[in-house]
Amino acid sequence: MGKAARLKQQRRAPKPPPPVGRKGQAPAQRTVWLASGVVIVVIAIVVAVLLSQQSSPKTAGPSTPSAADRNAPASLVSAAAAVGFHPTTEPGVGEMEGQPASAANPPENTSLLAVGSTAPGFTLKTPQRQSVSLSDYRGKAVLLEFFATWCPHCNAEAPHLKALYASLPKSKVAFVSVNADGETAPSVFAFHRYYGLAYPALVDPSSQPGSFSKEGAAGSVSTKYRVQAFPTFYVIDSKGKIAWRSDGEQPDALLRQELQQAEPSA
Amino acid sequence: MRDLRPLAALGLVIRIVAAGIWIAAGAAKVGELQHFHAQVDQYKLLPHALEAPFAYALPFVELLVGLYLLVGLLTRVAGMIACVLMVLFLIAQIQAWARGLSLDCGCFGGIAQEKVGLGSVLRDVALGLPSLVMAIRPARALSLDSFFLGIPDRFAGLPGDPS
Repeated sequence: MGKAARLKQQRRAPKPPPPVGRKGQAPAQRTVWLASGVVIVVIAIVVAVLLSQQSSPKTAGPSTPSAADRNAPASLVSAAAAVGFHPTTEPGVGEMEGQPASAANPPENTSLLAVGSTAPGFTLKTPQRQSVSLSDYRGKAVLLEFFATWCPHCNAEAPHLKALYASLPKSKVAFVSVNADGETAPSVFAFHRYYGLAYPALVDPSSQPGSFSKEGAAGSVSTKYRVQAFPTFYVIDSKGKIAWRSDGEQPDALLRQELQQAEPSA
Repeated sequence: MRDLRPLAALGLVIRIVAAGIWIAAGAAKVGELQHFHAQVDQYKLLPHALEAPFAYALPFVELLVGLYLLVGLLTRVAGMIACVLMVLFLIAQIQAWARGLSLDCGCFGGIAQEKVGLGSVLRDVALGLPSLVMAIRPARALSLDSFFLGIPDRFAGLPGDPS
């Protein structure tokens, strides 16, 4: 094919279509990206406002640990740090504690030990391996709490129990917490130290050990007390009889009232 | 309105399904942010300080991704973000499942409650497929990408996708 013929053929051949939407697209794309950026900034502002306005998570900050917790073995302290404990929360938790005693709900667990029956005795250990027996408190009204470190309701209760305990006469009243999810000593210690609790939190070993990040199963004492929900409370009178029991968060006023009724008479 | 070719129509349907999934997931959580915050907390995956910002921002991001897919704006980018989110959700669920945590998935707020496990993982994989399709072959029939930016429908097989 000659040069002239090739040129003729090229002139006849249709021009390839221009690339679709390439030219003049850049400003439109820039506008779209800019508008998207503005939307993202607006969302970030909305989220920041919502975060600043969110109602209190009903969890308390860390308290000063008790002297015993401050002097705990370094191995226990480092093991507790590895647990990664932090207060847990859930919508609606932390509201019952400030209510009047009459606001309390009846226990959901109908198989709790009966009022008037003898509280089963036990000896358990603190995370620092000190033995604590229920019989150590004979002659006092005892608030026995069964808890789990990951339980939002137990986290909400902890600062209230701490304040209640501080306000009651130690000669007549004792508080004992028992971990009812078979959690490890570091897990229980992390909770106890975080809230600066001055009363013992005991480890109730289980065949299915749990921790702050892993659900376990009830130990033998928790099973004996028929614990099915966290927290579960028993008030034991000065003679070792069950004076009151319930589960779930409780009004501070009710716990105070039940403990005062169970105190030894002067 | 122009008649849609069958393949373009199929792409449009997949895009709308993907959009619906993300809009439903985001809208279900926006109404109960505090509850979703508690659910994020239960996964025990993020540092505590990041849980609230994540829980409060994620539903809006999901809504935004869903709306972008719905109107077909930056379709491929929206599809890619959706895929990244889905992978993160799958990682969160699998680690919770492996650690033996018994918790509600929280994937669709209060609309659908399901414990984290094989079922919720497989469900999320299935729900992520339309978004994956949009990330690989964005469908731009009746889309702002097409009308506003002049980007062709990649799903229907037209060449020259600049995005």
